[in-house]
Amino acid sequence: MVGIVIVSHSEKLAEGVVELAKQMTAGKGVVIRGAGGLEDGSLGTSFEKILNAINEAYSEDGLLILMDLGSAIMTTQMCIESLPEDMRAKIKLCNAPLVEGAVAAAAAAAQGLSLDEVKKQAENVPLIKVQEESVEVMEAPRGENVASVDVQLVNPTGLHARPASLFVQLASKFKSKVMVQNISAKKPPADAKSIMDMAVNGTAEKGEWIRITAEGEDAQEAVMVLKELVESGFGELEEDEVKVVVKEEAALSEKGVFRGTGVYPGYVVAPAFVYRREEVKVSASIKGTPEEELKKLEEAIEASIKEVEELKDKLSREGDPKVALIFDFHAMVLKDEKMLNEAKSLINRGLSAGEAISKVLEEWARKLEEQGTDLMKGRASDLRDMARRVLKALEGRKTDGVSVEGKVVLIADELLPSEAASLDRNTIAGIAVSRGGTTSHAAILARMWGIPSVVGLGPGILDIPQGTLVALDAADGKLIVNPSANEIELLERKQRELEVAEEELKGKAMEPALTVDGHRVEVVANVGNIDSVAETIEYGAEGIGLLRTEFLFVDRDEMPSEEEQYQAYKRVAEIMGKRPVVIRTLDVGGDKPLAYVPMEREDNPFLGVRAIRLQRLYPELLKTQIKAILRAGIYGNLKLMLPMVANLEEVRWVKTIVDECKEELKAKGVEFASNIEMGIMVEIPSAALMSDLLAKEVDFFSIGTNDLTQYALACDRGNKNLAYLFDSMDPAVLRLIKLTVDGAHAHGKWVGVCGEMAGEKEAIPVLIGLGVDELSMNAKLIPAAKALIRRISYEELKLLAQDALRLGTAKEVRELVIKRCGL
Amino acid sequence: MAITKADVIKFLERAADLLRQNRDYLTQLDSAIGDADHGINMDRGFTKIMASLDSVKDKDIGSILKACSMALVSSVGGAAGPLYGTAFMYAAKVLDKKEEITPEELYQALRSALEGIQARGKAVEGEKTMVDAIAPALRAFEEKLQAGASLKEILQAAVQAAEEGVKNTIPMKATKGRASYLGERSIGHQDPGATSSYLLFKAMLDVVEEKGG
Ligand SMILES: Nc1ncnc2c1ncn2[C@@H]1O[C@H](COP(=O)(O)OP(=O)(O)O)[C@@H](O)[C@H]1O
Ligand SMILES: [Mg+2]
Repeated sequence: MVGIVIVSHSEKLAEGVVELAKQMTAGKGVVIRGAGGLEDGSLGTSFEKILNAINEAYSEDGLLILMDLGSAIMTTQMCIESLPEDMRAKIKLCNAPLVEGAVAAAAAAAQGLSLDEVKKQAENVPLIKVQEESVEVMEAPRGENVASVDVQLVNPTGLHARPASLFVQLASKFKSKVMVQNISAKKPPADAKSIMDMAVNGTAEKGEWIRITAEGEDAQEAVMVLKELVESGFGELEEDEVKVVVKEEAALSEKGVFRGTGVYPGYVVAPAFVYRREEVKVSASIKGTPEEELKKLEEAIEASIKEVEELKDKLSREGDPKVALIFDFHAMVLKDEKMLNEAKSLINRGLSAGEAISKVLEEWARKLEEQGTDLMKGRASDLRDMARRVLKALEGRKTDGVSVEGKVVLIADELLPSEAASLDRNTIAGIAVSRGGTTSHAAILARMWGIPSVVGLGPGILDIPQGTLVALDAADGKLIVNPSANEIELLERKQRELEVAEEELKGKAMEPALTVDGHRVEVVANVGNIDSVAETIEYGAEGIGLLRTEFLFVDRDEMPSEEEQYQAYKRVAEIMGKRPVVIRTLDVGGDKPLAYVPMEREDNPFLGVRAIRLQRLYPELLKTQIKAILRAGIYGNLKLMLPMVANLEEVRWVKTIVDECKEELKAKGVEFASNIEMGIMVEIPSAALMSDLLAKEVDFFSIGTNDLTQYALACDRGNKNLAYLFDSMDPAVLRLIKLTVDGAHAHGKWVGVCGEMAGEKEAIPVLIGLGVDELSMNAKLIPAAKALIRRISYEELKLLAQDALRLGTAKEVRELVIKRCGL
Repeated sequence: MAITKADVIKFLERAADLLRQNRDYLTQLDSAIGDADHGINMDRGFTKIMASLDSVKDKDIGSILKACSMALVSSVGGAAGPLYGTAFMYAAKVLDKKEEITPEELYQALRSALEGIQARGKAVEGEKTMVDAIAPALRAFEEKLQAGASLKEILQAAVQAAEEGVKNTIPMKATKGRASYLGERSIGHQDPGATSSYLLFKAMLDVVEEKGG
């Protein structure tokens, strides 16, 4: 029978585990020995004790050893190494959890199983996980003036950050008391009018259900309006994301060199400006009566709100609307009644205004750090920032930001939002931050402003004397103190190279992209709102391959009129001039419902009534949009594109609608472009399979690779557990693309790709090789995409594509591309 | 200059002294990121070495170090036990049957000791362990050795490098040993094991300096 040894730092623990394990052996004579603690009874692991236990429990059938922490394993290994060869061969160390593993091993040994089998039983022992303490779900209340509804989160971000702020803003408009509880995650109920309560307790992820309960005269209405807000997905639109790859954190290594994580690349040599935050003290001494203190506090908060709003306006004016958003959150917190009430009750218990407000905000900041989701954790620094602001206001001072002279590398432990916002970005050549976090404010701003920056450099950088020359190598994530002449020269050279490369990329981006053998690929941009139309040209877009029109439709309670839409499309046409603009008609469904279009709840919105299918149900929606596009067509080169086409019949139906629209416009005597091209999105496999017939009916195809992949592989790309499946480079998807291209080219029609894939370095060569004529991507990716196209050969890509189609997996395809194209 | 068996014994005595003097300091370092026993562990280990020296001090250097290894693993208790135990064991292998050794041989023994520590603990540099003191010390050792420096100069450089190595553990995040349970919170504290390794190098230097070069 296999013997068992339990090694622990504690004698008591070892003995206790032995006792538990023995219970499982039913007197079968399994030898189980404990080796815990040191000779003198103190904690630790003892070589001799372990060796003795091994000798006692060892049998010819073998010996299994279970251990607790680190040194137990190492000491046991040493013991075994000291044993004769034949014994060693029959001893196994086991990775099982100590208690459960010992019990399972004892039972297995008692059954006379082999050593390997006993080990396996122990290591595979099921661990019974304790359910987290559950919170009572609040009863859906009944009665007059009470209302309650359950609703599911459909937007990607869930109920955090901006959606949470919107929710609180809307809830605050009602007189009723409104509570929210995440019933999927069984969180405690949160006050829907308190941004802080919502940030800590009220958060929910996409797919979770929340219960909204209201009590008061307008309860019914409050609940309905909030439900709609949630169901509308908070008007969130999907944006093409530009992924930033960050390296693992590291720390100080070479002398005078600090290592961290680069968040925006670049090379800078400049004097250090070490920013030290002025301590703001809570004055406890001069304290008035509770009434006086409360009044002081209210005034200070008032003043702080004013400051924050001024800052917000200033930032919006200076063209940083995203940074301005940070201060929206500040203003909401400062207006939070729950916060004021908590401070009030502390004041009533004898605290000064300053003590009370810092205590409340610190408490909330801590709660956010401990319980908040990753998204909300970062907000703790906002709360501390606010506490400082209010404290200063209590002393009658304004909070001023960081002021710097000359070009410097700013060094700080972290930048609080108000400090970050006050920075003059013209004087900051680089940013070096001691704390970690690529999602901190400092990192976010650095990326937004394009300042070379490194985070996570460790507290040592705060000791660098003011004005010391430093070199920041943000590409490599390091900060060099007092760089040598050589190092400076090297970095300056790298910076010049980077600038030249960027200039070249951008400069050349304006020219068309031809492969080395002269094959032209059209490179165009995806756009989701009017504001970013103009900048696509700067990045070298030859047109717009996908103009999403959802921005005109969401977040409002009535349909945009023909006139409103016409004005919007006209502006785009005018900005883009002769360049083609492909306008996709409204693409929404049950996951992103519109307040003014009745939609039934569907179990499966992605296979339900959405896009063209919704427009079939409500033809007015489509007609209004088509008329607006036809009219705007006279100002530029507009094309019409239908989303989510599944069969021929749908296309024929739209054509009759287009004809009707033209008739109606003609009848009214309104001017319009009569020759607008019409194309379809190919994103359902059936459309790819039928492309040879569809091509006869339309002028072009644009392949939406995200949805095509999702539908072809039957895999929700938001599902974390299916990340292994979702890859647009899957040969199955490539084959569908090939079919589509062949179908189109047979009838002389062109094919574009407007999914994320179109901007991906590894995908571009394959797409071109498959014969795709146009690539439509996030404008920022265009310069690099064009540069890539210019160094590859179409003839070779055709061969590459042929070979890729024969491969079995996405991974193999990617490897092939990397190898052939030298990426 | 050759290193004699007597020097090795003096080194062990000096190390025992230094570890006793720094017992509370090491324990205090371990209390920030561990279980507050490293000083106690090391002191107990070297006291045991002192007690076991009598029976082996007439044998060769390899045997003496082997006895030290046994004393350490059976008495230290914490991770430092098997780690330093393995280090002495590996060093003993290189110095088997030797009555006297050259600086070159000392270097080989120390390299082997570091290999032992890394084989046992699987730590590499940058993980906030004793390896972060020993590895740079050995690099300095090798550099001076090759430049033909005296043993004293060699050890001075090694001690200085070990000391810097110790300082460099402060901003590191522990990913090995008990301190790794603290994750990010291990940042900002000096590693106790690296500190005791530094003391061992210091003990070597003290013996050589006392001997007068
Ligand atoms: N896997 C390892 N590799 C190298 N050194 C380690 C390892 N684990 C721990 N150490 C070193 O051991 C020291 C702690 O020793 P000690 O306090 O005696 O052990 P324990 O952590 O078991 O209490 C640490 O400071 C570290 O330098
Ligand atoms: Mg310890």
